[in-house]
Amino acid sequence: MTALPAKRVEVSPAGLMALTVDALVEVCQTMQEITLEARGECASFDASTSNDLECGSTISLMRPGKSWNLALFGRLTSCQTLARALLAMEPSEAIGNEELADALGEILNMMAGVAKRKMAPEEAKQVQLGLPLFITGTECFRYLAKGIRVYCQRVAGPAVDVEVILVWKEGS
Amino acid sequence: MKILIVDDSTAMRRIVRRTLEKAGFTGHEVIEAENGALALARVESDQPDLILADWNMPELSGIGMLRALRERGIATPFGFVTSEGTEAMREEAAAASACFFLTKPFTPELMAEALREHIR
Repeated sequence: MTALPAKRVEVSPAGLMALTVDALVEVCQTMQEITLEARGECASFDASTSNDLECGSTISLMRPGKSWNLALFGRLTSCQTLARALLAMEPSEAIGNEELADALGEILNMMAGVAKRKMAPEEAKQVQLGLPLFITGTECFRYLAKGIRVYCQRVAGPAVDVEVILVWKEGS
Repeated sequence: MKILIVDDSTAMRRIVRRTLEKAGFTGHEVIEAENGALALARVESDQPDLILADWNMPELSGIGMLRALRERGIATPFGFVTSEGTEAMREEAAAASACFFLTKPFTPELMAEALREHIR
């Protein structure tokens, strides 16, 4: 008897972005007591009109024949605000690059974990999370050129203004 | 009690330590390890009473560490504090004798609920 192929449930870019933004809001509210909300609509990423992307972190969601990268990029001050809140540091406390990278990586990791838990079980089963990668400066834009489609959603709150970015890849 | 926190993220080890205190579990000795392999050595040398471990870690994962401990006959109570928490992972953890499964993000209240039975 031939085994039937596993049932495949497709997630659309808009659906995955919505899951991801909700996940970020949940993570920041629960762990940092920072209330964030989506501003405007999810759109294709346009480097010429996007906010300054000075640093951020990215994580891969890999599945057979396809992968997505989720990223959280923003100005350095916004990323530092998120990191300080996660680490229970004072707003004026100096934060080193290593602490910033570690904290942003954890935020991404939690965000991806929550998004995965909210996917349909058949979809979630196929998805493997990678390890977070910290990126700064022009590398942020270079990284975004790797996807076949790149979507972004601005998310903001007190002292935080960041872009949640979904890089869609196929055939990898 | 001696509690071992195992996570490759320094930030997360700091958060777990802080949340333990916020959850009311104060006055315990807390020790740390960066991955499952280093944690195995710490279990042998420090003999913790409770282990809180991440699932995805380099060198040796949390589930790999739990299985290695049980193969060595070490029955220290072991729980997961992890970002991923699919039903399949929970079942795998329970089958390997994990005593709780706490998913990130978590509040002190959720941590208190998960650990109440395991911290004296």
